[in-house]
Amino acid sequence: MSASVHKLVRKDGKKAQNILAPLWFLLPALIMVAIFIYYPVLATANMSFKNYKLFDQSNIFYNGFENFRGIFKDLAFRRILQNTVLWVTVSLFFQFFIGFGLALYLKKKFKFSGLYQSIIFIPWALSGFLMGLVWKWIFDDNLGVLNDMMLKLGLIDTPVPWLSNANWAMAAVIIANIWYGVTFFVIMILAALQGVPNEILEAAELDGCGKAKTLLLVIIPYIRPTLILIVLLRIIWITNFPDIIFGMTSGGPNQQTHILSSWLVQKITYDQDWGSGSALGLLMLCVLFIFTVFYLLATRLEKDSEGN
Amino acid sequence: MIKQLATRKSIATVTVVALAISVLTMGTSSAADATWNCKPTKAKPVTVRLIEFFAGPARSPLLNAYARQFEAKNPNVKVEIISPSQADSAAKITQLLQAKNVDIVEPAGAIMGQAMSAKQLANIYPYFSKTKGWAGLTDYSKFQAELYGKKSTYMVPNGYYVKAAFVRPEPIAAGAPAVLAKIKKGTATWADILAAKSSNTATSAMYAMRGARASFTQAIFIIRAYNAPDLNSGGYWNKSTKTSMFNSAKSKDALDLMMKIWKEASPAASVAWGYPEMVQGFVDGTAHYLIQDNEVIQIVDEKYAPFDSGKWIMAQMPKGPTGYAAQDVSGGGWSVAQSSKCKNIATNFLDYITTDPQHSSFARAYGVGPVTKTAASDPFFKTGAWAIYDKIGKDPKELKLDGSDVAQVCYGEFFTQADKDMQAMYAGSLSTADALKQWATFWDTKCINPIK
Repeated sequence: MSASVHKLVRKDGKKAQNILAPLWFLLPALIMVAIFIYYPVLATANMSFKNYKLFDQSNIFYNGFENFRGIFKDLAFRRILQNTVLWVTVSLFFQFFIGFGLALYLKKKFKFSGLYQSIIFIPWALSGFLMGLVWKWIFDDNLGVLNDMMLKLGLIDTPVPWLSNANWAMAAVIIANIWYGVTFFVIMILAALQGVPNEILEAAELDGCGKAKTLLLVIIPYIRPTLILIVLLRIIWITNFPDIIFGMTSGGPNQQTHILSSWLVQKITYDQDWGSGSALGLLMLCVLFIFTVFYLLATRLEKDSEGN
Repeated sequence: MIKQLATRKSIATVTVVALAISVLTMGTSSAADATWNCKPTKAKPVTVRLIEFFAGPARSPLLNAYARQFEAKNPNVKVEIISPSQADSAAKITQLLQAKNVDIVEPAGAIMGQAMSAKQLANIYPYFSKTKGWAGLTDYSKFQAELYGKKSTYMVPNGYYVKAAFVRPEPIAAGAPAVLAKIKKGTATWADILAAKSSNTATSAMYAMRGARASFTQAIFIIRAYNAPDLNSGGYWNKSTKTSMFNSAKSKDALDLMMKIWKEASPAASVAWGYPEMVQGFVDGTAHYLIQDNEVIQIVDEKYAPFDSGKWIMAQMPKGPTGYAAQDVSGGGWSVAQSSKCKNIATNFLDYITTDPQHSSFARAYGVGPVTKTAASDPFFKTGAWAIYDKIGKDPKELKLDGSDVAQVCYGEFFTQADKDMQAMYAGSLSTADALKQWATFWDTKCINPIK
């Protein structure tokens, strides 16, 4: 009797040990994530309810929802929200389709294809802010190479006010962002395309599928999970990507090219209003979280209905 | 018996509390003393961290060279120079001061008032006033060093930034010769700058406006010129009305004229111009007339043409209707952080770089007005493009403001709001009257009125 009980205890103890073992291995990573991700998020949430301006550090106090109210009441908010939607949708649309096209092209074997791939991947290795500065000089109203070329080609009579007119400036920053982000789609879609088994493609060919049908009915469904994931990642990254805007316009003229994330950077670094900046950061986090949940649910539901 | 015990108990309690307080006080005072008595040894070396505000190729390498020289003279001391880009420097300095992870900072612009209000800067007067560096400062530099109170030094000046006009005479002579003559004489007014719009061409315009960051400084130039000489020593208050200068009717005239200059005499692209674009605009000929600080001399000299070529000249800032102009002559400087664990070593390094020939070489290389007596007597700062500053210095109708209003805590908030208002005015979504009303209310309610 006692021997069997002892055996059970040992067995249970071992089982418990087995359950705890992965947790022990995960602990260092969990601690790091807690310190570098969750603590800053909590600190941001705390700060977002404070009047916390670095210009006057003797006057820091909890002010309830005042920072959130200030954001919604700001005259620039509506334009900034519109800009954010425009920035994400237009950039994503062009980045995705150009990236897809280039990935399909680069999948083919041709002379110097490796070299072409390397050249196309270069933008992704560069700093977004630095690229913003380069594009700033390309789009410069007076000295920019773009206006110069268009004038010389006779396409325009007077220089386009790329960076001094709000609408043109928004177009300019989006063009620069499209150029910058195409590479990501090329890398990811090319990797996914290379994972499509040749047998499926050969079977499609034997069944008489043309190139377009193979792409739409075989390749895209096969790489769909990758596409869903990279589109989601890009939406989050583009929303949180103020670098090019800061390099090119700093949100100007008259705050007309700000998106939510560049506005946040301005609040923190230039206005030194950490309370308002934190409130904006928290709002962005909530919006992106809700969007991600809905996006994943929608794509999963679609998949389930296809499965049924 | 009980009463006796209670008395003994309370005496013991009082004694313990008193002891604890005295121990704590002793601890605090000895800790405070320790930061001024750092003795670096091989076992305990000292690192002094300095962060620049105006980092750049003309000065950062020089500061690094001084750091290595100082290290050679002071064994077991290491000086680390942090040189962030100017776009990030304000945020970086603020963060380091908050993190208490820096010894010397360059608190330019709004950071000074902000750091003073947060008590982040140390008063180094008792230690620094006994050094060679202090003895070598000009009287005005000593006045600047004691701006926050007699025998209190929270910032040691490292150079003066004086505004003057950089002028391309050729296009102005072609379009507005009468204005050019006035500019050369130093009698040109802001109205003349507008009149010189006749020198605009298809690809260039008269005035290099600043539409991006720090755009409101343009408005301040002209509003001060219109309010002078009725200005206080800090330059934000009208001595006659005893309220902020933005209340006066003259300020409305000034700002309206500024908007006309922007619409009619400036390149359209200048709405997006910050410091580098303004300078570049002058260098490439997009603008004929640029108001900027002295360090731009070197840039224009190298990137456009040498001053001797005659392709550009220096002139005084335009004046207002009464013939006056006014500008801050306060400049930048170094401060020792209150959190520095080795204030004596940090101050020793400041002493080293403030003494000549170090400061003189720094001022020449970077192109700032000198703060020491020997450097100030250097003929270099009185000839060529620099001669204009001598003229400005001697002109009683160009008021030199001491920067005391800029050093107020409220200035940082004003700076950011006024910048947004300027851009809104350029975009036509805010009237000059409304902007002035907001600015006047801000200064009258949030800042300290020194003349009331």
